[in-house]
Amino acid sequence: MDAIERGKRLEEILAEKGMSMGLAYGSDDSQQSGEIVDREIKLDKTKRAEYLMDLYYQAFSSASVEFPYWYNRKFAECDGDVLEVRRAKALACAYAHSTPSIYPKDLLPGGKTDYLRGGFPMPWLTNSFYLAKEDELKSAAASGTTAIDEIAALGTGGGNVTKNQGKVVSLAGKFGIRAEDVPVLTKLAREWAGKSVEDLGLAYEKMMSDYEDKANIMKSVLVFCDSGYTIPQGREVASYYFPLEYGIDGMIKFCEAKKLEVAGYADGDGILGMKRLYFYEAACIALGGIQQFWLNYVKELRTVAEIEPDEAQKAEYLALADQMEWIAHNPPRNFREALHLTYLIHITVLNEDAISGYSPGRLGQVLYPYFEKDIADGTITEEEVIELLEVHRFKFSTIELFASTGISGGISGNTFNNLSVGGLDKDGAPCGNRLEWLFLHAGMTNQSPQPTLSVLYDERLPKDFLIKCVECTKTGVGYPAWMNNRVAMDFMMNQYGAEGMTVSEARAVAIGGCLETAPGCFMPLHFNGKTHYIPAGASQTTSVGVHFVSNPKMINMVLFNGVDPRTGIQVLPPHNRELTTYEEFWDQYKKYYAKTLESTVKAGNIQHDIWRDRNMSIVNSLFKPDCLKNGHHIGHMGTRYNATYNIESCGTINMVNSLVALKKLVYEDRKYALDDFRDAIKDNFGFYTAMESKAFSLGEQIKKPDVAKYDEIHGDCLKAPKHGNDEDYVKEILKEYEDWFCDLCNTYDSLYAKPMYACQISVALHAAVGMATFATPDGRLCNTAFADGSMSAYPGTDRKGPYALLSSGCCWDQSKSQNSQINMKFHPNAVRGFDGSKKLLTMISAFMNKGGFHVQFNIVDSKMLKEAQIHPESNRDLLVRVSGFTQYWVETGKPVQDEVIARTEFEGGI
Amino acid sequence: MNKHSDCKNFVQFDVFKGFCRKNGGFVLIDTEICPAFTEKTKCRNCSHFCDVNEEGIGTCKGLESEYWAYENMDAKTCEGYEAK
Repeated sequence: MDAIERGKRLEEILAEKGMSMGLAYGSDDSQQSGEIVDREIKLDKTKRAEYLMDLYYQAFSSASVEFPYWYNRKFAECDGDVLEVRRAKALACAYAHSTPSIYPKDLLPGGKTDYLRGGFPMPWLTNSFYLAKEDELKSAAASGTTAIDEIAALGTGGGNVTKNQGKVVSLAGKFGIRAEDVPVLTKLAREWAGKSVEDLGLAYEKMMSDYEDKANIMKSVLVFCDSGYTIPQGREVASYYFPLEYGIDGMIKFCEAKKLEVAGYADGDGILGMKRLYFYEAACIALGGIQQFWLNYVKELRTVAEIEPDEAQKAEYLALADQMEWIAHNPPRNFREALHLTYLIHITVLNEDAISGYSPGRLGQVLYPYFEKDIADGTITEEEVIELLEVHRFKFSTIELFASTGISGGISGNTFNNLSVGGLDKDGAPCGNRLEWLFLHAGMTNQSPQPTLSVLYDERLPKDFLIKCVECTKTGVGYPAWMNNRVAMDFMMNQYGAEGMTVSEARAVAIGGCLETAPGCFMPLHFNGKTHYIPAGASQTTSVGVHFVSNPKMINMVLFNGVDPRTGIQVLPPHNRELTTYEEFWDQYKKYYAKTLESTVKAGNIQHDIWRDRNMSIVNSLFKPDCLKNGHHIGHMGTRYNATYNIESCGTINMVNSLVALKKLVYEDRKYALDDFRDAIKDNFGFYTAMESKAFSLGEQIKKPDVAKYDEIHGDCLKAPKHGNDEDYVKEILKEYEDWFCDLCNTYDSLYAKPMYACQISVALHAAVGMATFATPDGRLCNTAFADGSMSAYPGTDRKGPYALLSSGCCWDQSKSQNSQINMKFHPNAVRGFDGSKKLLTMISAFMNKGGFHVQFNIVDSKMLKEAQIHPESNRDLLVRVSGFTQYWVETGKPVQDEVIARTEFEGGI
Repeated sequence: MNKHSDCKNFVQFDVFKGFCRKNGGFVLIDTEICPAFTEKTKCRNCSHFCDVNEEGIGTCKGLESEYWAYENMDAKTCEGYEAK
C-alpha cells in the first residue's frame, strides 16, 4: 500500500471530529444509503427516435479533412482577389464539395460532414496544434494496426476517441481521424503557417507594451484561453428570418440587385462604403455554395431511393428529396419544410467557423405560424410534430465542434445549441405557445444533450406551461434552465440602449450558448395571409473577449506578490505591499484584476481584429439583421447590436469565501498571519494534490500521513462563513465584488469601440481552471474544482437549505451582468408528485421575484451518479446538468463528475 | 488494399465503421471486404489524379487549376471526376 492509499480522506477526518462535509441537506441521511431512487418522470420516445438515438450512441466523434481541403484549394486559386470574395469562394467551394451521407429513418437529412458526429479542423483559424504535433500524429498513424479487438472493445467513454486505436488516431482527446488522413491534415496546416488568425494575431500581440505580462497570464492560467482564434463565433442567437421570408433564391436576387445599387458609391461612408459591393458579391457566391451543399443531399436521396428495397423508406427518401429541393430555393410552405430549413441553416452556419453556442433561440415562436396552419389544415398531427422534434433533437445532438484539447476539455465537448421558450412577444404579451410546449415534451421523451432548453421566465406565462417546464426539469435531464426575463431585458437596455434598443425590441432577448443573454429583434414574417413578428437573433457573438479570469488564482496572486505558486512565474508586477488591512488586500486584488484585464482585453482586440480582417464571417452575416440591409458583414458591425464583447470570470464563490476567511481569520480575529496562509497553501494544507490522488472533489482529498501542522488553520478555513447560507457577512463581500466587477468590465472597450460587460458562467472551466490552481484560503485544496457557475455554493458548504442559497445570490443587481448562474441538485424524493412540482415552481418564482437571473437543477439521486462512475458501460444514456449545459455522464471528465457528485443534494421537501 | 470505405455501397458513419447498403448493418472499415465490393468514386480512381507519393498525396489536373489532392478523397461531388 503506498502513502496515498494509507492517507485519510478529508471527509473521514472531519467525520472523526464530528464535522460533516454537509453534502446532503434536509433529511436524516437515510437517502445516502439504500436503493437508488430513479427519476420520477420518464416518458417513451417514438420508435423512430429510438432507432436514431441508438445510432447516435454507437457513433464516435470523427474528424474529416474534406471541407478544409476544398477550402484551401479554392483559397489558393483565388490569390489576389478581394479578401471577402476570396473567402466566400473558398467557403462556397467547400460547401459545394461536401459529401452527403443519408441515414435510414432520418427526417432531417443534412450534416456538418459525411460522418454522423463529424467535425473538421480549420487551419486558417488555428494551426499550431497540428504543426506542433505533426511528428507525433504521423508516428501514431504509421504504427496503426487493424486491431479489431480494440475497436470491438469500444463502448465506454461515450463517443469520445480518447486514444489511438487501430488505424484511427486520436485528436485532441476527442476526435478520431483516419490514419490515412493525417498527412493531409498536416499538409493543410502547413499551408497556413504564419498566415492563420492565430499566427498573425500572435505576431501583432507581441507589439503590445505589456505582451510579456499577457503571455505569463496565459501560461499560469490566470486567464484560461485566447478567444480570437479558438471559438471566435457563437454564443449568439440565430436568425432564420430571411430564408423563411424570401428563400435562398430570393436572398440571391436581393444581393444581386444590391450590387448594382451600391457599386461605385460610398454613400457617405468614406471608410467602408465601397466595401458593400464586395460583401454583396461574397454573399451571392456563398449562397450559391450553400444551395449546392443542400442539393448534394437531394441527388444522394434520389440515388439511395433507387436501391432501397423497403417501399416505405424509398417513398420517404423521395419525399425528403423533393422537400430539400424546394427549400434549397424557396421559402417553406409548411412546418416540415420550415423545421428542415432552419436546421440546414444552422449546420451551414456552423461550418463557416469554429462556432460553439450558436443557438436556435425562440424557435417555437419562429415556427409557430407554420405549425398553426398545418394543424388547422389537418396536414400534420401533434404526434407527427413530436416525432419530428425528437428527430430534431437527435440531429442537434450529433453536432460536433472541432477544437483544441484545452477548449474541448473546457467545454466538455458540448456545443450549446440553446433553444429558448417563453418570454414576451413584441407587444409585451406572454409567450408559451403549443409548439413550445411540444418542444418541451420532445425534450422529455427524447432526452439528449441538444438542443438544450431554457425558459425565459415571466410570472405571466401560462401556469400549465410553467408546470410543463417543471415536469421537464423533473425528468432529471437538466433542462430547461430557468432565466429571469425581466432581468435579461434590463441587461439588454443597459447594454444596448446606446445602439438604439427599445423596450419592445428588448423583449426579443433569448439565450445564446450556455446562458449568454443575447439581443434580438422582431421581424415581419408574411405567411398564411398574415404578418407574424417572429424573434430573431440580431447580434454577433455575445461571448468573446477575455475567456475566464480565475478569480481564486487572483487571490493567490495578491498573497504571493504577483507570483503563481504553482508555476513559480512572476505573472504580475510585485506589489511589495504589507497588506496590513483587509482594505489594502482588497485594493490590491482590484489593482491586479485591472492589470490583468488591461493586457488581455488588448490582446483579444488584436486577435479579433485579425479575425475580422482575414477570416470574416460571410455566412453567419448573411442571416443576421441588418447585415444584408447595410451591406456589411459582422466584422464591420453589420449586425444591429455590436456591444457584445465580454469578460468572463470563474471561481467567484471560492474567491468570495477566500476573502471572507482572510477578513475574519487574519484581519478581525487575528488568529493567523498572511504568512501562515502562504505556508499552508504552498503545502496544500498537508494534503496530496488532486492530481496525485486522482480525485477532484474536496471531501475525497487525501491527507499526507504525519503532517498535522496545518490541521487547525485548515479546519478554521473550512469553518469560516461561506456563501450560500444567507449571511450578511458574506453577502456584503459578494455585493462589493459584483458592484465593482460589473462596473469595471464596462470601462473596457472592445475592438468595435463598444463597452464590454461581465459574464459569469463557468461552463466546465470550474474543473479545468481549478486543476491549474493551488489551494486557496477558503480551504479548497490544490487541483480541485471550483464551485460551479457563479452563484452556486461550494459543494457541501450551503447548510441552510435551498431558499438560503438562492437568497444569498440575490444581494446584488444581476442585470449589471450578462448572466449569473446557480446550479442546484435535488433528490427526486424532494420534489416528488404534483405537490412537489408546485413547490419547486414556487421556489423558482420567489427567486426570480427577488432578482435572481438564473437557476437550473439536477434532479438525481447522487447514488446513481456514483454507480455510473463505477459502471459507465451500463450508463451510456445518463445525462447530467454540468453547468450551463447537459451532457452525457460518460462523456464528461472525472474532475467534473466528482464535482457534480459532491454538490449539495437537497433531500428534504422544499 | 481496398477497404470497406472504398466501396460504393458503403455509407460513412464514423472513423471506425459505416453502413453497408448492399448487405445491411454496420461494417468495420478495416475488416475484409466482401465479393460485392464495387469501387466508389475516389480521387485514386480518377484519370486526372497522378504523381501520387507514399502518403497517398498526388496531383489533380482535373479542375480549373492544378493542385495537390489525396487518393482517399471521395470524389462524388467533384465536377472534374473521370473514371480511369
